[in-house]
Amino acid sequence: VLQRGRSAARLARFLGRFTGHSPEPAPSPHELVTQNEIQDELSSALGSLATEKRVVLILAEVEGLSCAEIAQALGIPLGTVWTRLHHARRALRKQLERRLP
Amino acid sequence: MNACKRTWEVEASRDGRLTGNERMSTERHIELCADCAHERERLEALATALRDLPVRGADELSLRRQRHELLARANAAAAHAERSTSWSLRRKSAVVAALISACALGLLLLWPGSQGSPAGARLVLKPDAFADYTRQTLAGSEIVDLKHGRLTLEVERGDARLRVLVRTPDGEIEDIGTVFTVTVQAARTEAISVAKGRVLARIAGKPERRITAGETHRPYAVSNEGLTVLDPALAPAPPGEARAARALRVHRRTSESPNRAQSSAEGAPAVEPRTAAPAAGDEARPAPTESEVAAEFARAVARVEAHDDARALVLLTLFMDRFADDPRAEDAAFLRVVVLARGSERAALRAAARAYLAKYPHGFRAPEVERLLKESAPPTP
Repeated sequence: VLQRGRSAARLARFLGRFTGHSPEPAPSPHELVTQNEIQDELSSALGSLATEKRVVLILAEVEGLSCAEIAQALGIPLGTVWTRLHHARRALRKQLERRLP
Repeated sequence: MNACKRTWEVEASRDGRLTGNERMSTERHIELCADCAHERERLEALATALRDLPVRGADELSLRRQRHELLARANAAAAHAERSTSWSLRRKSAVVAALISACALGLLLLWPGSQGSPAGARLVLKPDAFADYTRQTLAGSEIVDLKHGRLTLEVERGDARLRVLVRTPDGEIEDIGTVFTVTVQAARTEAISVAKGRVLARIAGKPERRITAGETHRPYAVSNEGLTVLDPALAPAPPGEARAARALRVHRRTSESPNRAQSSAEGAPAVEPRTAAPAAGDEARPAPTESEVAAEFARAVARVEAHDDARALVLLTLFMDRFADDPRAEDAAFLRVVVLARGSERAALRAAARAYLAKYPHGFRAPEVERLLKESAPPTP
């Protein structure tokens, strides 16, 4: 992980010479490790969700679909989308209580 | 623990569960309420964490399964949409399709070189003394209008796609073979005889009929659906055994009804005298079933495996002629090449191989046949 972060930072600095843009400060090793741990825990929590809840959550938060669009895509009532979304968020937040604000 | 009782509105607003006024009220409240502002941050943090998750590639099995499910859903949706399509939409689609077709036809007509037969194709007309016909070429199609008389057509397609259509006063015959004769009398199609290949006959008021090599079809004979006979003069394979003799029986292309069976027995005058004689004692036969075709093929293969080359050749040739549309016809053609390769008749082998390659240029066995053809070539001095 550290090696990957350093490589990315080096590449950003190298490209910055040509583009004139100063790259954002690279995350510290501690931040990288923490971010990696959060991702692992989130992946695990996401995997523990029921499929129908996981699908709705990813469509809404990752893919950016509105609840009406999700209802249409999945062929389920709008109220069901709201309910599944709420339960999915609650389950994730419960499992990631320590990590997320 | 949130002290504010309105924190649920933050998520509701985010998901679009609130109406316009409610949402505005919630937004104003969030600006003033620390709990609700914190709730919004938590929701946003969760969403950001989800978006930052690395996307891992799915394994091949999962991809296949998902693709299958997607296709199944798409098919179901398409079927549903087709059922629920309104009339106006269909009308619009028809208009668009007609416009596209008209444009395509116009392009074909105006395209340089589209007039005349395609290169490599040739159509030879052999009319009798009383034939009255005209011939025209339109967009790569040869159209022959036959008003009266007897006309024989020989089509050599080569590699080109030539469409040949014979229009008679009461229908049309489309050539998908090579040599056939059409007879028109009293402004109606009297007979269609096919010497090689196949044709499609579309006579007004009658079902479309496919006529294969060696058959003569009389659209108005005996019954409304006409009569098709195998003509011994045109039959391609010499009948060397009982099966071949059976192939020369009069048979009907469609299923028989009792009335038709009776009229067949009484309808001998509709058949030409030379075909009426062998047909007299034979019963009418319906189109072969799948099991019959399979049995015929198995019998031919058994002869091949038994190295009974003479009988195998006869059976394979008969199978190819009778069931030209069956996928096993290609196997039969290949087996014929194999059987001939076992013998010493190099010329016959080359002819069979060329026939296979002409009919199935991209066939499963084409590479092997090409190899056999190359090996059987006479040595060059």
